[in-house]
Amino acid sequence: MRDTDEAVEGLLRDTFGAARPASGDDLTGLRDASWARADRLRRRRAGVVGATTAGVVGATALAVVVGTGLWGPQRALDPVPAATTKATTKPAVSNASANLVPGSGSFAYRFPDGLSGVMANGLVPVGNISSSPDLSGQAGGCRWEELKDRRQPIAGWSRLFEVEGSGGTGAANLGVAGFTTGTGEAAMEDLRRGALPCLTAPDLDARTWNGPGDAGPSDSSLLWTGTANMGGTTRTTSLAVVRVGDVLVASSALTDTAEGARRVATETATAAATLLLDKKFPPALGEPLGASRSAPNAASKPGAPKATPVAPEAAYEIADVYPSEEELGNGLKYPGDPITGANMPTASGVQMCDNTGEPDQDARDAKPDPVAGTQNMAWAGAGNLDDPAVNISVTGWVPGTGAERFGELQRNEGGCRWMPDQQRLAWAGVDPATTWLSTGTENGITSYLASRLVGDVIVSVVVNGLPRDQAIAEATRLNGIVTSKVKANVPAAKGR
Amino acid sequence: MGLFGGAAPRPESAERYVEAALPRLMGAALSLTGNRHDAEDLVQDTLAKVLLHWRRVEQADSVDAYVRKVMVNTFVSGKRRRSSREVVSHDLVTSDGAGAVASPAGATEDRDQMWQLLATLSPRQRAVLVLRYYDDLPDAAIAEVLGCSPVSVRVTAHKGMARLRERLPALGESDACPAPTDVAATTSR
Repeated sequence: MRDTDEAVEGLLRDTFGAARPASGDDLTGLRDASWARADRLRRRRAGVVGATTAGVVGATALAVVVGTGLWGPQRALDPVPAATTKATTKPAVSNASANLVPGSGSFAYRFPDGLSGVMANGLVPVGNISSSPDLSGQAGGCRWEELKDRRQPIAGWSRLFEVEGSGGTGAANLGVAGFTTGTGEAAMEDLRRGALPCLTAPDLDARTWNGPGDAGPSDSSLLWTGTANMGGTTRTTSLAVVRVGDVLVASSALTDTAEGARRVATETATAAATLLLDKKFPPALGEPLGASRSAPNAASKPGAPKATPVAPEAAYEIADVYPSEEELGNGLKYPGDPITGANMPTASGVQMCDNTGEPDQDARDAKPDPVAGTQNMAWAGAGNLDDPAVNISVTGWVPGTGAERFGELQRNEGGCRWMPDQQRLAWAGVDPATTWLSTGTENGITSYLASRLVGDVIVSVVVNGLPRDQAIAEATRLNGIVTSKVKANVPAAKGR
Repeated sequence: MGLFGGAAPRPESAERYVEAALPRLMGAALSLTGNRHDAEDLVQDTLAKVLLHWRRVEQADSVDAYVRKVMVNTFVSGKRRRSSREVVSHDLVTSDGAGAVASPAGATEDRDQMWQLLATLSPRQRAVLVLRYYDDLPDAAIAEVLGCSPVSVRVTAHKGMARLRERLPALGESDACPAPTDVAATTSR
């Protein structure tokens, strides 16, 4: 054991040492980019309005979660200069969508809400949703960005889980990847023969398993599994993949028992694929997404031009309008930096903006988006569902349309709709035309929303995890603090 | 607009620091994230935060220690957990001239395996190992960086090492094995 430890330590030193740049390496691009990012950060802190960048300094993990749930997978990080990689293998398949590789922020469509919550019994999500669709997960890992000359997905994400009670030794993964319409079968075949940029351990054997795919058991699903002795413990890795239309759904698991690994992988993959089929998600049926002829939906058609980014650039930046942690009170802390951009729900935390599959999807999607926005969350304790939490969102709208948009919020007729349903409450002493107080309950969690229209800006504060009267008082109090800062710092609050 | 307002130039001390520290920071970021793209992003985030408060930072007893703390906590804070799931290779990490060094046969494959295994560790475990084996910090200093006790550092390191140990095939034999991609492409299913 001691020899092994020393060998591992030696290899760690060697590995890290090799990562150290040589003295002659040109890091000027990185240096300049660092200064530029500092400049942008300072401008944001200073409240300078009108910057054109849509990037987010220090985009938070929260951004990934919220972005996936509400606006589809998207990467919110600034582009990084000089971040090129070299493909090391011969192209296996011509790549029709290289401009839509994960991380580019240009995924062609969003997967339905609810998919990210799918998991087998006994799993606990770990970390946040990744915008990179890792199809092989515990069985290897995907290298989409390295191997750009191989077939690439046009949409996708993945998520890591821990097996409950395993003490961190059991893990699982769910990855979904959508491919250009009509190429799902070929993508599955690529995965099967190792031609996708997804590695799998060499000691996995094929097992018999029929997933819920739509093309017959022979080519619509696969199950690979392998058992090995790792440090004196027998561990089994299973990888289950289901093809539904042009979407590959993959789940991998690493556990102490073969039965457990198989169950976790197949149950998770089956549940996710079934959800897509039940929702009649067009790419899962082999169809282009939606009836819309405009991007991003049209991008899933073969040969379609590059989709426009899911997240449009903001017309202006909203300065720091958040209460301090002292002002928040109740032990609430911000776990990360705010998310900024135009793709924001009016009332983050009690609205859902992905209208995929809704009968009036086109009408909903046609509703105007904000032209600027920011949101952030704060919570107390571990941030569990029943811990006190506050969700603040501030959205700016096209000049002169703020009142109209606020009316849509009140009538639940905007592009984002209540989730859960809201019941309006009385908010004494304020103009009911420009304010909104409501409550809703979902999964045993009751939220309280206080929204207010200020010029062409809407300020929303959602509070949960506190007793009713206290939650209402906090929602309205915090709304007042944010509103004051918006009035002082955001010209759009004055109709400008 | 310059960082420090109007047309004011950047402080010379800050420019000197960035110039001198960048290679070391980039190496640390590569070790933490495992890929060049996220490493550059981490360096930029770290320096942006540091430069924003440079006047205060340069008063610190050790600017390096402060910057290291910012970087590690930015990484561990969860903002970059996506990266921890990426499987990388030595070629990728050291591409574009970032420290590609001559390696004996098998060494590169061993490093590739190590990068892949490091990607399976939690950000905190990875940070502890980087602080130990990249920065050569004692546990007490690592505890200071992470804001925890030395005991916690040792426990975290122990768990991380155990995971590496149990999943790392016999060292030095990797040159006898084909690359995973090749195997995956040819293995009969």
